[in-house]
Amino acid sequence: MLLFKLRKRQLIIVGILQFCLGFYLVFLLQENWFNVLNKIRLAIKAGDSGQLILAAGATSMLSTIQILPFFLGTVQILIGMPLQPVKWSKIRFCITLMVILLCSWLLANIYGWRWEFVSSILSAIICLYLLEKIPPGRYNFWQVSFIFIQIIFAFQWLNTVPFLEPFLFGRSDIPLSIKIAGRYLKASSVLNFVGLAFCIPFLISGLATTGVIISSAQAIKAMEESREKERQLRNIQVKALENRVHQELHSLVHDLKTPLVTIQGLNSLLTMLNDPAKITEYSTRIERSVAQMTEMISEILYDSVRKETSVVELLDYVRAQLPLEDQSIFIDIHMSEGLPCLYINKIRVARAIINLMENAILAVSGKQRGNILFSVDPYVGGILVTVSDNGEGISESALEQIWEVGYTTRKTSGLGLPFVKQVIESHGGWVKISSCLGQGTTVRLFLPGINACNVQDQAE
Amino acid sequence: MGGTALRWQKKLIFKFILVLFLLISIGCQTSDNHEWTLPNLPRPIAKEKALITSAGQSTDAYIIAEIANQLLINNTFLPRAKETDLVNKSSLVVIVGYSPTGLKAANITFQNEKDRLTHLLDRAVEQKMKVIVLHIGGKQRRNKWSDALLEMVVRRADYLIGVRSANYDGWFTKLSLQYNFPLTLVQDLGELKVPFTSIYR
Repeated sequence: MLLFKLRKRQLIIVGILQFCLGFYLVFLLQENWFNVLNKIRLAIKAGDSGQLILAAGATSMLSTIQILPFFLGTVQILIGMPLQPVKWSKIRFCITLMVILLCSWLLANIYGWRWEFVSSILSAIICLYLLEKIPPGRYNFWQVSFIFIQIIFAFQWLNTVPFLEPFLFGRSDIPLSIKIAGRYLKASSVLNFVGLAFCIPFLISGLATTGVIISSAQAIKAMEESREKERQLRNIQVKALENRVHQELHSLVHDLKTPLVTIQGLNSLLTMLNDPAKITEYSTRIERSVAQMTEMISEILYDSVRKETSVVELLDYVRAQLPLEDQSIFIDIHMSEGLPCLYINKIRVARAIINLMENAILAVSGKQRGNILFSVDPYVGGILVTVSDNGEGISESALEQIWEVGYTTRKTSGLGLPFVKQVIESHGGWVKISSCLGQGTTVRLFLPGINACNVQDQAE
Repeated sequence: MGGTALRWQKKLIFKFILVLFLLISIGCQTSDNHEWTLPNLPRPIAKEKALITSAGQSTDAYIIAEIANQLLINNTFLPRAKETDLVNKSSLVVIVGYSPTGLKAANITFQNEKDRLTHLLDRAVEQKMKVIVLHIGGKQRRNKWSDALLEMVVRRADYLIGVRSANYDGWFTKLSLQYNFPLTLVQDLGELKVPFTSIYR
C-alpha cells in the first residue's frame, strides 16, 4: 500500500489520523511505561544492571512508537498541501520542526509527558534531510517509515547515555531514572556503551537504507526515461520511414507524365483524322495508356498491389530512371537467360533497386574509373540481383548499423537501405550486404519468382 | 532547486548546532555560590526506626531504601506512606523527585501527592520526629514540580542531603540558610553513604 501515492486530500486526512493515533498512543502505551518503571525498581533492588539495559531498550522503543506518528503525520500533511515546489523544502523543514515542537508542548501540558527536545529535533532534522534526498514523487510510505523508525530509534538510545547528559539528552522522567539508577549501580559506562552500540548501527542502517532507496528510485527513473526515449525514437523512425515512402511515391508521379503525353498527342491527332481505322487504332492506344496509368497509380498508392512482371520489364523501368551523367562511371549490366517472372509491385521494387544503384554510383563518384556491376541471375526459383561497386567500401562496425533508420555514412537521410529492406521483405525476399574497406561493396537481393509466390499464397 | 535547498539546509543545521552549543554552554554554567555545607553531620540527630517515603514517586526513593538496608539502618520503605504509618517510627526520610510516570503508576495526581506529604509532615512534626530530606536526582531532576515539592518539604527538614550538580543555582544553599538546617552536598551517589550514616550513627 503506497500511502504517499494517495490523492493529496487523502494524504492530509491520513496525516491527521496519524496525529490522532499519536495522541492515543500516549494512553495506549501507559501500561508499558509502568512496566519500564518496574524494571528500573527491580534493577535497583536486585542490583542488576541487565534489567537497566532492558529498561533502556524498552524506553527507546516506546519513545520511537510514540514519536513516529507525529513525524509521519506531519510529513504526509505537508506533502498533501498545495505548496510551490521552490519553497517546498524550506517550508516543509520549518513547518515540520514547528509542528513537532507544538505537539510536544501539547503532550507535555495536557498529559505531563516530558519531551526529549534534543534527540527529537536531531532525529527530525536527519529524517527530513534524508527525505529531501529521495526524488520527489518516489515517496513510499513503508520505506519512509522504515527510515524514520531507524533514525528515531537510534537517537532515542542517546537519551539513556549518561555522558551525553550535559548536551541536554535524556531529560525526561524515565531516561533520567535509568541514568540515576545506573549511577547508583555503577553501570554508567555500561549504559554509555550500550546506548552508543545501538545508536551508531541504527543510524548507519538508516542512512544506508536511504541510499538504497535513492539509488533504486534513480534507477527506476532512469529506466522510465530511457523507455520513454526509446518509444519517442521509435515513433520518429516510423514517421521518417513513412515520409520516405511518400517521398519515393512523389518522385514517381512524374512517371505518369509519359502516358499522359501519349494521350494528349493522340487526342490532338484525333481531331485531324477522318480515317475510321486510324481513329479506332488511336482510341485503342489512348485506352491502353489510361489502363497503364490506372495500374501505375494503384501500384504507387497501395503497397499490396502486385502484378506479374518480367525481369526485362522491371529492368527497363529501372534503366529509364537511372541518373547516368558521370562519364567516369561504367555500369556493366548482365542478365542471365531463363529468368522467372515476378509477382511484384513493379514501381516499388524498381525504386528499391534504383536506391541500390544510386548508392553504388555515390560510392564510386570521384574515382577515376568507377565500375558498377549489375547482374540478375536465377536463384532458388526466383532471381538474385547483385550490385557490386569498386568504391571505398564500408567498415565492419558500420555494416552492423547500416539497416537502422537514420544511420548514414554520407550526408544522406539514412532512410534508403531501410526502405529497400522493407520493400524486398514485403515481397518475400531478402537483401544482404557485404563490403571490404577500400575495395568495394556488394549488395545481393533476392526476389521469389511467380511460382514460388503462388506456392506461398496458397500456403497462406 | 535541489542545490539551493541543500545549501539552505546546511546553513540551518549549522545555525541550529551553534544555538544548541550556546544553550548548552549557558546551561552548563554554574554560579559561584558560597556553599554552607557539611561533609556529614558531626553527631547523630535521628533515631531508628526510620520511615522512608518518596515525594514525587520517582525511583530515587528505591535507591535510598536500598542504601539504608545496606547500612543496616532499621527502616520501613513505603513510597506512598500516610500519617498512620508513622506509628512506632522515630524519623522520617523523604526523597524528593517528581516522576509523572511514577505518579500515574500510583494512580495519584500531583495535588494528591502534595496533600499526602503535608499530612505526613504535619504528623511527623507533631510527634517531634526528625525529618531528613534527600534530593539525589541532580540538576536534571530540578524542575518546577520537584522544586515545589522540595520547598514544601524542607520547611520541616532537619537535614538536607543533595547532589552538588542540583545546587547549580545556589538554591539549596539559600533554602538551608532560610530554614536553618544543615546541608550536605555530595559529588555523586557513591559519596552518599557517609552523610546518610551520620544521621543515625
